[in-house]
Amino acid sequence: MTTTTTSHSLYSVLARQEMRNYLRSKLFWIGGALSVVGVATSVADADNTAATTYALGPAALLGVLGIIIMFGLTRSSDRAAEAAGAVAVPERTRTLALATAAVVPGVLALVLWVVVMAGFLLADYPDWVMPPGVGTAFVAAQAFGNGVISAIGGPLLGLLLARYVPRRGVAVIVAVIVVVVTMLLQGNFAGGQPYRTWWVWTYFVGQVSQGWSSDPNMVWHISTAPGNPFIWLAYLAVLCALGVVLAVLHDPDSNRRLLGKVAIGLVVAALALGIATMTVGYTEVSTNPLPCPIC
Amino acid sequence: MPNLLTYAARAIPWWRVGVAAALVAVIMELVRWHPWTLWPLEGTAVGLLAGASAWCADEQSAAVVDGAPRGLGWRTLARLTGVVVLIAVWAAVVAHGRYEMFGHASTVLLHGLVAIAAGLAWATWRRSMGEAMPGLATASVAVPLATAWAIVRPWEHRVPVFPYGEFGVADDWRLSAVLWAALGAAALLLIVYAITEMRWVRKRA
Repeated sequence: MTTTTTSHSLYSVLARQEMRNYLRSKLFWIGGALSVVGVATSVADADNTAATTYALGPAALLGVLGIIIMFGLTRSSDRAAEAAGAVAVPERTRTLALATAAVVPGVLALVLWVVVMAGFLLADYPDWVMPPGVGTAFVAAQAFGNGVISAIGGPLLGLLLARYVPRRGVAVIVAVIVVVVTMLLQGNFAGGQPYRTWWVWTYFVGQVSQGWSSDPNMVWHISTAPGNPFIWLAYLAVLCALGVVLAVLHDPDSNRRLLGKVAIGLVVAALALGIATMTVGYTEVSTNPLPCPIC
Repeated sequence: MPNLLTYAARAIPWWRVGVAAALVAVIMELVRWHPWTLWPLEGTAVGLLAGASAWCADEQSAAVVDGAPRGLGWRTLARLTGVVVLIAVWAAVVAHGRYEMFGHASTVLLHGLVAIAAGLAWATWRRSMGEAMPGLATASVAVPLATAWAIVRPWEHRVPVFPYGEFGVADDWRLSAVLWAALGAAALLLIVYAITEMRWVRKRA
């Protein structure tokens, strides 16, 4: 009982400390400030299409930067633990505290998501915005996955990298690879690329032409890409949970048997949800027939 | 000269610089393949060049090397071998994809060259101030920030850091070239300031 209580209080203290450390990161402030400015500018736009493009800022400026920030925080935590000599705090407790710090960018992205969605729901948007067959919930789900969950998932990926590949420059190179893969999986090729929903940063509605491919006539429409964004949210949440479990599993003193079983269960759940994202509802491309005048 | 090359072979983090150069080549090949869709990756490549050139200035054994007779100028000259690799890769990929750069291959070339100079200048200046591994921190900021900026493109017509397209954006490309040229000039001045080790700013204890 005493050990559990001590462990919990240690975790609470460390989690608060790591959240403060995350808040002190200049990179977080730069990304946060640019995200806020981007959202404010979009919401003030008379066309009110911010909800369809909201995720771009938080995913790039909070999620991608979060990989770098969390990698650095984890390495700092490890260095402090090494300097302390005897193991004062178990690695798994520090890992959980670091994972908790991901709520900092998550909360900011959530606030921005609420602002954008409130603006989208309260104000009128032009007829050319929404593709037929989908509602505002569809747009909200995409924005939540790419905005809020990306802002949490990026730091968790940084944590995982710091645990398993703690080499200099790794976070930077992985951040670049994430962006490159993301750019290739936007549904711009071959029928909207249904398989792209396995990726953690992709779009389900956006400005496209000729069924998600470049249009030589430069006539663009707002369209959906195949895939179910609602199930995709659950898929992303499972991936985040899997990331935390794998990061904790790195500690040799953790209950690896139990955590291994949990990890396998989460992998199975992620596979099932990934398949469901591709196959359950919204499998066809839906295009608004009205051209997009600002695309 | 052999001393210079021996030092460069050991001091430059070739593994990281090599991965960065390879990634730049892959990224720009993707851009060449589908410029209208994948153009934001040009910003990623430029950020990567800045980060990789900053890595070239990192000094793992700063505590020993900084007290040695060879000055920062000599060491920076040796580290230029890593920078030359980056310049060669960038020049090659821009030359290869010049017809898919919206008619502005020269500006794209300038982006990369200035990014390399700026990364090296900043890290060399930090080295002259006593910081051992400034490249790591520089890359950690430059690469994701350039990437995010290229994707989001805030104030794209007022501050066209990474201009995009060819219709009605000629002024953006022109302004971009001016902005990057100014940054390049500032970077060169900073390198000269750093390697001459003039002390207008107090050195860290």
